Amino acid sequence: MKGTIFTILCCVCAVLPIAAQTAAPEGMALIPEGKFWMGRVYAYDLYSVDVVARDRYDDVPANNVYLDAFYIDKYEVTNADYAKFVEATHARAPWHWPGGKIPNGEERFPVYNVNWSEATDYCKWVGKRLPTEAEWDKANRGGVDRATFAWGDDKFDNSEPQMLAVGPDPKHNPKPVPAALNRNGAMAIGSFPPNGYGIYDMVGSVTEWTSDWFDPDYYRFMPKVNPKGPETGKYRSVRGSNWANSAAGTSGSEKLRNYFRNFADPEARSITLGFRCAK
Amino acid sequence: MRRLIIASLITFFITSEVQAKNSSPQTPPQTTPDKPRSALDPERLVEEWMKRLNALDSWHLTVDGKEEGIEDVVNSMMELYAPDVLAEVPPHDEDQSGSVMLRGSMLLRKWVEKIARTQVRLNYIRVAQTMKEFNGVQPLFTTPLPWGGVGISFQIIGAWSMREDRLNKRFMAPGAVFLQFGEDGKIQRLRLYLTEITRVVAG
Repeated sequence: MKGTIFTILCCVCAVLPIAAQTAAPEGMALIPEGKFWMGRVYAYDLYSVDVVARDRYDDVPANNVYLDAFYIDKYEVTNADYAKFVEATHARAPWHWPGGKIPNGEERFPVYNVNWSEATDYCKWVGKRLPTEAEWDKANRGGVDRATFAWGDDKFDNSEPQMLAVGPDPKHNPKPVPAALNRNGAMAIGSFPPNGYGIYDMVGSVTEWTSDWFDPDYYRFMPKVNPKGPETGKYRSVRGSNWANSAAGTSGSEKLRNYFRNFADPEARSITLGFRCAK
Repeated sequence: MRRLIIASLITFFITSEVQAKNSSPQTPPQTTPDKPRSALDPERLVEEWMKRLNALDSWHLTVDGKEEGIEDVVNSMMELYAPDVLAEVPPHDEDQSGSVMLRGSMLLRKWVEKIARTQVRLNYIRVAQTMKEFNGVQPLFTTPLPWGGVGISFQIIGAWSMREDRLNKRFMAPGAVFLQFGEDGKIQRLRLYLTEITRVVAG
């Protein structure tokens, strides 16, 4: 009997740390450690053979990058979340909030019109941080490596002015599922089905701040282990497409691609720019 | 009599005209004037580029671990390029995929430094060809550029070892080089393609 109890205790002790390691904080998803291909892995698409004129080669070459495990918010930070921060720290409310209060019925909408510093401060306040560009990139891919879109390489019907969302399980059902797009602004969080890591709205509602400076030439010589971006810069890296991006046409679909990069002035407050935090 | 004199005069006139035409120095057919030939010597330019590329490992670490001579070999290579050079080079290792576009000599310098720091036993050679009675010719394909300068391309075979393990990590690859030189002899465009990079296994 004594032996049985001892054995059970040993098992519990062995399992507890593993359980603690894998249990993600509430509202966050665990992104496992390991390598992934960051950047455009397709050397010869329309752009690189000059069929379509392009002045930016910021997404090549692709690099096989190793990241430690990390957590990232499943949803973008909402107006309701940000209102608590504003109240507690007397930070500046987004300018479009009437009287400093959340617009009616938009509690679960992603917060926007916050600049990079405000986003950084919010993440610190909740004990987190902004994700690096590499972390955002890996999280966005949902475990589908070296693919054009978060749901795989499948093309989509861009004849309709609609944004795209992935199926409920992109690993097993890689067909993109069109979702109606509110083209007048951001949508409530969770408007699009989750990707393979269980993360919502990486492609769709608002573009998101990352902690990195932006350098269009960064991928040429980037570190291959836990890259944290250039040491300095003028703009910050922002990732993900937003409600104002059309999915139609080559340039529209380009913004939905996993490797699409963009940048913004860190002081900018934009109706298309929000964020989520990592840990 | 009068008619005879007139006929003789006409004949004399025509004959002397024809003679005058035939005796005048021959002028070449009218063409657009030739552009001044470029003073650039493609053979010499390529030879210099290859020499300085292969010399990138010609530096050493001192006993106290200091890099000695690396600046010189890198500077020597960079002297060949224009400040606004545009280069497309192969990925640097197996953890990179796709061509690497480098704009400006600052970025290109980083690439050159990376080769110098990580590769040794560099041996890039021009591919030789034998045809008919011509033996071991290394063809250069050249063309004058409309904006001045010369475009040169040629086939190469590259071989290099990794500094970290020079005995066991040796690679080789066939490839091609496309260079555009300005009138000043500086490289304005470089495209270096290496295909089928193969690890060389010592026999």
